[in-house]
Amino acid sequence: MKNTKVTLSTLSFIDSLVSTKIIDDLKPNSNEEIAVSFQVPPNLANLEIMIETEVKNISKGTTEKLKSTHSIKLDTKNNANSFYESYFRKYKGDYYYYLLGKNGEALVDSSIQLTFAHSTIANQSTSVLLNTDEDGKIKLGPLKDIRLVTSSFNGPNGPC
Amino acid sequence: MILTLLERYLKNKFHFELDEENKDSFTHHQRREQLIEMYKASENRPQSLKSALLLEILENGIKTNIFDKNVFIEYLKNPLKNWYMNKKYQNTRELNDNVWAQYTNNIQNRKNGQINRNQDRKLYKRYLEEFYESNPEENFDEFKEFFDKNFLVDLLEEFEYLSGKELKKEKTDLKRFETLSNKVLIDLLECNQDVFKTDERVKIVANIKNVSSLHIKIFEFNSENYYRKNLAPFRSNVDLDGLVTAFQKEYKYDKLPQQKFREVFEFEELDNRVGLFVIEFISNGYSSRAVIKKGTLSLIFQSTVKGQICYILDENQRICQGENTGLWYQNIYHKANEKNGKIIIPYAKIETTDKVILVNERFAQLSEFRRRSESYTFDASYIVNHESLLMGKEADILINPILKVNDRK
Repeated sequence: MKNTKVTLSTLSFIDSLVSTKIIDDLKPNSNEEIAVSFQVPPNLANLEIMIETEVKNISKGTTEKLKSTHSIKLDTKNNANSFYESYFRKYKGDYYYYLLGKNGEALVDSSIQLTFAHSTIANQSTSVLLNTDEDGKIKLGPLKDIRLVTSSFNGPNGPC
Repeated sequence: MILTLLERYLKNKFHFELDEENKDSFTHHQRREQLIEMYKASENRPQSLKSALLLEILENGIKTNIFDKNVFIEYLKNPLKNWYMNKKYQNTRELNDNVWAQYTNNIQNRKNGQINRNQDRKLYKRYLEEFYESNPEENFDEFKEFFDKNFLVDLLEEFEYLSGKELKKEKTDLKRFETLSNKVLIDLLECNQDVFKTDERVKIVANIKNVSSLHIKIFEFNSENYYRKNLAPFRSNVDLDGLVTAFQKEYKYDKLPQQKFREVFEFEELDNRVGLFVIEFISNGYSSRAVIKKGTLSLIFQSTVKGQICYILDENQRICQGENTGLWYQNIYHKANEKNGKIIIPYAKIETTDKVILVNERFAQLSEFRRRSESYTFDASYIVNHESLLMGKEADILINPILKVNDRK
């Protein structure tokens, strides 16, 4: 592989402008990954990574240009009506459910429908309605032998 | 609906056995085991399927020299066709509806799965003759409930006559037996192998009749020259004129002209030899030929950046190496590395499949080889920790590029 380079393109959700960073003169090695870094710009909506390289095709006497791309779309919820989202977190052996707004603000005293499915009792689940505390969280405990937890919040601007 | 389910059942359960790609990769004995397994698994399936499988086991028996009376009788209870059967069968509906042929196509012994009168007669006669030869006191009583009486009597009379017994004169067609008596027979059996290992003794079994003196000539062919000239599989009808016999033998017999007997010929002259041999049996202007291949070669290959790397393997799956090892492909000789047997064939501009002649020492074998063109594919896997994508912070991305030539790294 010759002339290997990586192009990083970031898209801003404010002005839809694309910024590009090119890292070239890379020497790919089959034993280790290529590591590149970049500064995350504000208002990032999409990150596209493209790696390009050149290979000499001896039998055809040509040089082939090859590339691979990967795209990461960030969930900005910019065009969504609901300004809240459910989060699941494990902290010191216990699981927590969080209902937070777009800027991380807690949604207090909101009713959440939670459903639990056991790992050995098939086709059966238990539902319970619980309210969030002043941090917007519900403590779920260690959830031993629970294979599935689902949540449902019917908020003022739609469910989540 | 039922057929669709059965088709799915057959294809799922016996995918490996029924697959076209595996059609020629099994020995007759392996195929027999598979057929028996399939027959056992079809216990609760329609009788026409069971009978079709039994017929295949019977046909396989001729090639493996296994004449199982139980299988024969089981088939006769429900034959696909009623010809040569007695009146009881003539009034019943025939089973053969040709439905199974499309599913069992790749395991059928008969070409295109043909069910015809002559082939069925040949099969019945072959089995009955074997049963008679294994027990000369056989009177076929146990088959009377299945076969037409005249069919059985005629065959029994013929077998008795050919075994040297006196004719029961009051009922026989003398002209038929006179013709039979004059007939010279050197019949090489279907169960004979045509490929032998180098250290294996070559044995050929033949049915012989009306032969007082049998000449056997063994011709050795330069297989490399033959394949280079013809680029086609070796055929038994090859012109032997001008060829010098490698070995010659003569056998004398003092049997009655009508008497048919079985002889096993062993060829110790071919022990530990590799090559392509034609063994010709000649007597009274009649001749039969067997083409014997001693030793086998096969080719394995893989794509690399340099080209396709090939190795020639011998019958014991060992890599052939040495001064006289290599292959002919498109009239170009590619010599193997004398130390490791490696042969590098560069990629072609356009992918082609052609015959290849594998050569090791004095032996050659025809095979096929697909010379690939150089084709690169490129892909990469990416690792990005989403939590690291925080505004103003430095984020790391790991990229693992994967370059493949002809789908290999």
